[in-house]
Amino acid sequence: MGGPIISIIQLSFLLIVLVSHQTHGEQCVSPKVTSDIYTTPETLLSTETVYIVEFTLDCSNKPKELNLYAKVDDSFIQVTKSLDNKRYQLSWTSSHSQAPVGLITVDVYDGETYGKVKQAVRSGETSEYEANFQLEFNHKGVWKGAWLKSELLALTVVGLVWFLAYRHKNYICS
Amino acid sequence: MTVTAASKTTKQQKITKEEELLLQDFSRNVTFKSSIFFYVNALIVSTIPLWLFWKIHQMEPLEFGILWVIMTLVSTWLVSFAYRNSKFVLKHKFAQKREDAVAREVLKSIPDDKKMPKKEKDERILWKKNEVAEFESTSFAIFYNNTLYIFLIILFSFYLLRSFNPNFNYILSVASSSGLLALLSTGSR
Repeated sequence: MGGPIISIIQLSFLLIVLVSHQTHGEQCVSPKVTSDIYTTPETLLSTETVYIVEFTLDCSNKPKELNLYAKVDDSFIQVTKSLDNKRYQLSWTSSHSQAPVGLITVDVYDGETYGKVKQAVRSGETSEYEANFQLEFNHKGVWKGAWLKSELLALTVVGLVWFLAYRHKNYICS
Repeated sequence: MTVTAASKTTKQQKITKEEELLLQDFSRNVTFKSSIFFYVNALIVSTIPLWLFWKIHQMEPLEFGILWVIMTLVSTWLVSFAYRNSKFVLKHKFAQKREDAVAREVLKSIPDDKKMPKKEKDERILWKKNEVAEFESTSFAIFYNNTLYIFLIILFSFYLLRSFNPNFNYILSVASSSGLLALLSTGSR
């Protein structure tokens, strides 16, 4: 009686492990990253700062289905991938005032490492797992527009010239 | 008899010339040359806003060409009207201000040994004064009205009417600026 129950329990456990492994994907060994970055350059045509990182990943073990998770602002975002699984894209937004500026580093975890990190967090332990690789890029900040608008400058200059002409006219007419 | 008749005719001619000068002085009418000069300047200044509305307000020339032509012609007429009025007011003032300097210059230019009757001297001074006043009043009227027109165009199109559709922005800016210019020029000062 105990035998079948134990085997059922063992089978269930095995299934859970396999399913969770499938959910989080494979592992990437010796990753090599090539990336393209876009960040919002100015505030005039945008309400928030957008960060978009597109990258290709070369793993020595050549995984077929690799899921990646990036840690942004202390939360995890799943990285989207192209249909051919060759290119990945990570994007997020932040308000202009709170958007980080300068050198930005994003930790990226493969499925297996992410699973372990999540488990550690769930069980209340401090995660000691390091990211599989990091994405580094520079964000110069956003341009908020000229402090002196061109139409104001034009109006001021023309207004000043007119005022001088008006004063001279008054002098002539006096 | 013949000599008296001849001197009377010369006197009449002289009076006519003086009267003509005075009439010219006090008349609002401008010569044909001045008129052309005013219209050309008014046309140039009326076409300046077109560039602003094309490049900044994104109005396409092919789409709004007819409207632009109509408003430019209206603006040209109103601006040249303002020029004429301003010139008329300023001419007398310039003549008064420059009277002494012109008289000194004319008297200086007459050689001492040449004996000229006083009337001829006065005529020369009057003619020179008229010429100087004509030139200065024309130049200043154009300068003053152009700066005021451009100031009003920028004020209306970029501040007061900025939330309007570019079409209405253009019509109202040009009409208001040139209209206001014409209205202000009718003042006595």
